[in-house]
Amino acid sequence: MQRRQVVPVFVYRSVSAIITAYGREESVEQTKAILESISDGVFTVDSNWKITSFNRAAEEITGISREEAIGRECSEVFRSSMCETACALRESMASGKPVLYRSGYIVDSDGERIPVSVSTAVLRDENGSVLGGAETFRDLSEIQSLQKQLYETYRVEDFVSRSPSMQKVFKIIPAVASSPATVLIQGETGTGKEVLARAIHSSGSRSGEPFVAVNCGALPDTLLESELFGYARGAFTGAAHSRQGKFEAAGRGTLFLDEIGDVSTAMQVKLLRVLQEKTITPLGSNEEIKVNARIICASNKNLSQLVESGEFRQDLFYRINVVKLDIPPLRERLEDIPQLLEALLKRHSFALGVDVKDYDPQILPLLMGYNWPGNVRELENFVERAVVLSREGLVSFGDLPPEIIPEKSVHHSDAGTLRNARADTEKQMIVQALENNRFNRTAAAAELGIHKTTLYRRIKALGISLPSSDGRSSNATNTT
Amino acid sequence: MFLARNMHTGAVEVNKVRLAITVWNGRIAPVFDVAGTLRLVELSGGAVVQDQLLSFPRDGGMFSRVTSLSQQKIDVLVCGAVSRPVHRMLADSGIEVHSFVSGDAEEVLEAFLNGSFDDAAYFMPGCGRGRGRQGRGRGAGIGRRGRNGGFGPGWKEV
Repeated sequence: MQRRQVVPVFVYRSVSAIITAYGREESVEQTKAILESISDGVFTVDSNWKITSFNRAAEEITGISREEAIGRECSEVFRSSMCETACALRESMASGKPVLYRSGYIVDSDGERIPVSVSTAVLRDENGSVLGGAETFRDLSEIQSLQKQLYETYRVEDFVSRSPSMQKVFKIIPAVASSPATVLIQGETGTGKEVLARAIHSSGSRSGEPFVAVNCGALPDTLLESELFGYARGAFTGAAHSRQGKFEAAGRGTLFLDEIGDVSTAMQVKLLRVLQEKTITPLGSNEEIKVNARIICASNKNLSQLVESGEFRQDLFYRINVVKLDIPPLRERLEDIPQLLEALLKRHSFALGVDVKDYDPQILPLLMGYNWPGNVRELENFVERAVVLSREGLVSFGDLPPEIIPEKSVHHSDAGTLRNARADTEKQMIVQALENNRFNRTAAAAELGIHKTTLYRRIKALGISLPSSDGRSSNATNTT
Repeated sequence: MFLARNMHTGAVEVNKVRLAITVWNGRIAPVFDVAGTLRLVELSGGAVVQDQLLSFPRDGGMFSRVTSLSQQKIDVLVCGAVSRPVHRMLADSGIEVHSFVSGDAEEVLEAFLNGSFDDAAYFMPGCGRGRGRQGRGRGAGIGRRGRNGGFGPGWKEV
């Protein structure tokens, strides 16, 4: 994922022009004109490494005036990552040959690292004696910014994707963002539903208003009700003060209701009423409060199926399903993995202040071949872990968690027989499907393409232990 | 001789400070982020009690660079240019950082010891006129060092 640096040919030409003109009295004015007109920074040094000239572009790139630069040690003016160990100018002075397009960075007075490409050559007088050296340098920030712009076409706010299905979503986001319509986002856990909701919020006229997110699946009915609608003082024992609900807190901004498919039918009725009447009544209060927030709902379940099975109210479904956006799981948009890996590596390297540059190309096929059941969230966890472990250089094979290495099931089979290997693989797949569906056996069986009684039989035969609370029991709690 | 309270440990000691300077060719190394040599000077009661050169592994990355300073129990760092994230890590480690300093290392150390370090001559070009954010920060911090032996907010005279 290392990008090729683009260095124009005229960097070398400008060095040549300086060398050719330097020392020839009749060309002094011409040399000055060249130095002042070009966009590359140029400085010259004497044999003691003191700066003897510093052009306009050098002033602009470094932020140092030529008055301050001239007469100072070049390393203290240029402050480059190459000064101590890979000084191109020192090499040119030692060998008498130019050095071209060496890349590194300089640190400006604000502590910003500016990526540069440098070229150097020796300066000689008419008799061939060495007078010093010349160095030209080009600020690569602009090129990197252009690369970023290119990269930006595959993202909306923080949502990155180049997959055709997501490109369709990206295209309609401006229209969706500027409308007050309720949006339903569907996608597996970890696909970035909240990130997309935030992108819609940030792209529209409500961007200056609050974005309030509530995970409806995480709260029992009574708590969810007080969380969403608020309560008046004295509404219940211990309610010494009134509390604003999330509908009210969102103001004219966006209220994001995550895991809407997990709310109980009783709560669904209350939500339907709010969406129809655009008002809420805090618990223990008679006062109706107008709702101005735009509502975005999300679910990791297929709401149409929940409507068919009677678990989700059809009228609420129609009310929230005005604009529906589907985020495909990461395994169905493998083309996004390289870009996501790159973006996440940059983000986490910067956050941790480490210098992890790239991924070992050998591990990319493994990363692309892995199923990523936890989707982008799992990918991000992997990158963060790898950055912490690597700290510098490349993310390599040793940084991969065991589940990404495909040979695991074979290596770890107890007796090494085909039957054991098959049992191990089957066990892994069943556990994975159960986890994907929060241990709801019916949903896990559907994902595996087997009947649920077969799944029960295999769970028992393979000795898979199940948690005491599962997808069925949590749903049951919500529906009571 | 001053007694000082180490603000990190709370201990009252004879003014004892471990000072690190990144050096290269006898001068302050131009960029801390890639500096290869560290001069470690321990001062106690105004006198130098330890003075040694340590190599700074270049292959260690930023974490190990900052960690090794913490492990050496460095109180004060004098260095050349330093990038912003690294500066933040150093400051978060409780190290008093005097960055964007240039000149002969011996002279800078001397100036640091006698309290004349806030002379604009020691700032790197472009940093002495308050242009750089970090440059201004340094300027503001240096003036405090006179009374307790010149070692900033980490130490308090008692």
